[in-house]
Amino acid sequence: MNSRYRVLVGFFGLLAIIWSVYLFSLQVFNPIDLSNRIAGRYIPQKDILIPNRGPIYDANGSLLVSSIRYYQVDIDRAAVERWAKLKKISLNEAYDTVAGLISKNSSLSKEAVLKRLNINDKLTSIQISNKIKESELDRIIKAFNAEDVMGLSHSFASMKRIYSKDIVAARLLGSVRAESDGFDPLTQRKSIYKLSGICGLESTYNDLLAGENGWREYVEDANHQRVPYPNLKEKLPVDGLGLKLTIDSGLQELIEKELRDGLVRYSAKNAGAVVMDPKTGKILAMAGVSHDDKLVDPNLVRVRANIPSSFMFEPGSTMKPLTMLAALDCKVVRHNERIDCSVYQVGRRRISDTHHYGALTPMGIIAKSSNVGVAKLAERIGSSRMYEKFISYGFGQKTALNLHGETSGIFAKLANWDGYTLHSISFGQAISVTALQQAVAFSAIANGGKMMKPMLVDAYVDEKGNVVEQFEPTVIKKVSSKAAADTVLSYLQAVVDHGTGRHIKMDYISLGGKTGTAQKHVEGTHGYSSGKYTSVFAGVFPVEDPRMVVVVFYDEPASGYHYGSTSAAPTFRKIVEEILYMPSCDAIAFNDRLMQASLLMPDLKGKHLSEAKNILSRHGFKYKVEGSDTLNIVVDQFPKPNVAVEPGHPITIKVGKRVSSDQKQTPSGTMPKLVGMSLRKALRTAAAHNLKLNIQGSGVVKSQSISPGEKIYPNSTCIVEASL
Amino acid sequence: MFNRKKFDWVLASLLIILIVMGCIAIYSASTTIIGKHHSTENHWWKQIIFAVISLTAVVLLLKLPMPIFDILIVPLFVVNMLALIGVLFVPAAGGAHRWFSFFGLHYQPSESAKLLSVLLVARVISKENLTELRQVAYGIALMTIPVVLILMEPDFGTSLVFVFSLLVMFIAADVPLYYILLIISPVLSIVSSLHWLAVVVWILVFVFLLIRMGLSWIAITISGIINVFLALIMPVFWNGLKDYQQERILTFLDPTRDPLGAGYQIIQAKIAIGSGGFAGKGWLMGTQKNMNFLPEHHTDFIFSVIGEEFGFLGSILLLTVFALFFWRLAHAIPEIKVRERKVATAGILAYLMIQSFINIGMNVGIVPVTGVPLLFISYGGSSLLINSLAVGVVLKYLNERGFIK
Repeated sequence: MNSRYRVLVGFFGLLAIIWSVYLFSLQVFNPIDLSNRIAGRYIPQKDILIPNRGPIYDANGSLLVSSIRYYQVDIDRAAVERWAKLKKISLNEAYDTVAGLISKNSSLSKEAVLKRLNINDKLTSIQISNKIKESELDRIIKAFNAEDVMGLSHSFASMKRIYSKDIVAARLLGSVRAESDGFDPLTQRKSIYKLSGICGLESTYNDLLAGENGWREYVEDANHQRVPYPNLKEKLPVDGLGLKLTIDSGLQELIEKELRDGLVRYSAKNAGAVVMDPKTGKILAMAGVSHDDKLVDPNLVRVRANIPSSFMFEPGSTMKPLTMLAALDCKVVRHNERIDCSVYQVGRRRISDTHHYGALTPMGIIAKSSNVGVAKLAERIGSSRMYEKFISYGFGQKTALNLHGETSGIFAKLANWDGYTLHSISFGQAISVTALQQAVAFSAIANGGKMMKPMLVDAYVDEKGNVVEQFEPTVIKKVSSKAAADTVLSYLQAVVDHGTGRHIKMDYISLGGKTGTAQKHVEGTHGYSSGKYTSVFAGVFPVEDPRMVVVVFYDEPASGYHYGSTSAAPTFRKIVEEILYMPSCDAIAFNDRLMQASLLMPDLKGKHLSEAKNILSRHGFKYKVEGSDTLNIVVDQFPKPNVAVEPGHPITIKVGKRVSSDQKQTPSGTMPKLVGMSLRKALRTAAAHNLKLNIQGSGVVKSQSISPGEKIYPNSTCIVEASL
Repeated sequence: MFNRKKFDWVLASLLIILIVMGCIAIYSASTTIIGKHHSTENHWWKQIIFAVISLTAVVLLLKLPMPIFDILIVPLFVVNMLALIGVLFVPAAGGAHRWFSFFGLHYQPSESAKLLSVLLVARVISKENLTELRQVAYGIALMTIPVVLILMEPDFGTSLVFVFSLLVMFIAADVPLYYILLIISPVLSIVSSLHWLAVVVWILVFVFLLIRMGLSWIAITISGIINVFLALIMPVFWNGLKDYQQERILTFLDPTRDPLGAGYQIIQAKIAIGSGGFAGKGWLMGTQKNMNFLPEHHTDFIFSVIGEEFGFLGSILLLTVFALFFWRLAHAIPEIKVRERKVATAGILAYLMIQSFINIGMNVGIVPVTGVPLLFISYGGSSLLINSLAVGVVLKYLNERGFIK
């Protein structure tokens, strides 16, 4: 062969080798990576299937939050055109049929659908609506199949949370936000729709509620037409689990109503309340309201802080029972010991009480709320034991609920305590707590020293309502001996029976509790602001067998209402009354409740109209008023007094002029001045005025509930406080 | 006229094997299977009809008396050039004026132009008493006509086939190798301008080769300077281009830069072949083909269908058959003693070979050129007929040896 041909052969040989080697490397050595974006187009791709977000139920199983899915419905106009040709009808007739089918089975009007169908756009596929509900979609698909109309396609569009009880527990439940995740490895750069909780329980239990995405494979050919490829796999989405809360929505609702009323009445900024079952740790209600809640959109209220777990305040005197619990548990004080409660000098600081009480028993200290008394007890306990005890009560830590936005409060480390911290903390200063923490701590008192793990979620349930996981009440720890706890509980009863909370005493149920008033800390300083207070009441009922612990507080109530006894305590009492009227309440025996439920008609005759209305509404009666608008004295009523009536029975009250002859009660004289008298003398004076005395304490009368000079009626009762 | 002893049965058998393989591949390429859906377009039996026609034409060509065959070449070439001019006035299909269509049949004049140009150039440059310079000049002048017309279609790939077969014919026609070197040197200079080291090496090799070939110093100096100048001016020229012009050239050289446009088919073909793996997905089972990601998979991208469905084994089998086929064609060159026929055979071998290299290179993604079918395998009547006739011409030459000296 000619040498010049060798050049050619060499050239072609080289090419042939390069080609073969390249082919080998492409097919065998390093086959093309099909997960590559471009290469991946012809392996099955994945449609993401969105799971339902789990619902939230209350303790009675009634729905609080649920999800609704919306679908997008598209009509492929080209397909409709083909169908029209097939059926030999005009395009307009075909559109008319399509619009008719859609509008008949959904809330859309036929005109709107037709307008979308006739829209002037190059696209053949037209979005009709993206707010088609699942049930509507089912009907539409069935209708299209029945008529054999072509061109319908649908896809998941969005999900919305539906709040069945509107704004009840809004802050606790929280809110969700629709998000589109950026990159998804399953579908390759497709964004995925998802609802994620941004606050409240929606956020705390987001992973649980959200569920798990599923997928379904599909294959598209080069023209983006889905082709019926065999053996395509799918994984169904796992719907999010539902939450069954321990919250009783009825209770929650009435507490929110009471707090809202209270906000207006006391002109406070915020209010919160927690109701907890001390025996199980179940939170029965957790409510927080702000004065401007009414002014903003309900959806904005949902994203606001859950006040009972996130708002911290100095608990003030409500801390005293806990100091007392520590003292009794450490056995540094005897039940009958008398402690000098006169002004007490600690270093350069003077601890004093509003009144001089002299020597008080531990019960007296709590009932009278003596700062000096508890400070002295705290000294006996000592800093380190006190610190340990308060840590064990849960202060300075988040509760086991671990809610979204929950704060741990402020409780200084032992190492950072200065000389006054021990005393301050003993009566609730230099420490900040949340209503939730306070409720958990008081529950320990009510539960014989056993602290229960607070529970908000009773169970996880699946979409059919079957329980997936049931949570049982658990004891976290024992914070004190049963004896100490029960003793403190009896002191709490004393507060209501004859202490700072006696004005809320109820006849048919034993209440215990402690008032608290704390000046608000000025942020960033060591000082307290004047005129800004937090009023708190931590209560428990019934004392013999505590069923509920209620902590109520008002943030910055108006002056005069800033004491725990003037705002928080009355709200507590109202809440208790409401609870006792609730049909589901089993706090007191059924008979007692029945008596309360079918009330004897109060005697309203001669009362001022507003007073009568108050009485009636307090018992939950429905009533109407007859008579002139200008008159405001009740002259008659139906039913008559002392007739048993069911709540809800209509009541008519007649108003008219005060008829003096008809007056049942005429003033029998004026109130004498009792202050300063000895008790024996006071009793004698009272008897002379046909007056009953309710005596608290002993010794010399220090105060009287009816001021001297006021008119008194026969058989009126005057409460006098006496001390030595 | 038909000498059974001199007939190259091996070459003819290889031709038929290739055509049969083509029919099998085209049957698969025109079939779509998705799930239970199964449809086949009519390309495959059309291709069988074309094959029968082509083989009949080869037989007729063999029967044709040699003088008549010799006379026919010039008029056919002229008619073909007129057809190439005429096709430019036909409405564009797919962005190019390449086809005449009548009665559902498509005729591509550039296909027949390949064979006729090769035959004519072979005749002109193998004339006795021509100086080497004239050989080169006549060859280039003649080839320029179809190349320019085909570039206007535009069809770059086919033009490249012409240029390449011309160079091979020069080699076969005993044109000194330095002419070839000089002809291809500007292209190599431009390519070498990518890196200064490449320029230096290339120019040194170039000058060394010219000296060894015994060129005069003046010619060496002039061609050296021209090439150095070309290599140096390229970066300047390149930088002078507007961005979009640069982009267009880069996209031409590397179509994958434009994955949804120019590079789409090449990328899809590469994916199809690559996903075939060692043993392939099985006949008719190619997903890339079934999902219609590869447009024209029965024509230019038939190799990717084979690569996808038969894998590396199938591809390499096809390449082996091709290699045998070309080896047999190359084997014919020294057998033929008539100079014109020898040159023509070399040209035919070159153009058939370079077409298959370009097409397969394009399918596997080495060569950035489209528009060249895979001979005997791709669907297409005119291409199959002309390529078969080209083989027929070689068979005829072999058959005629000894008759005319």
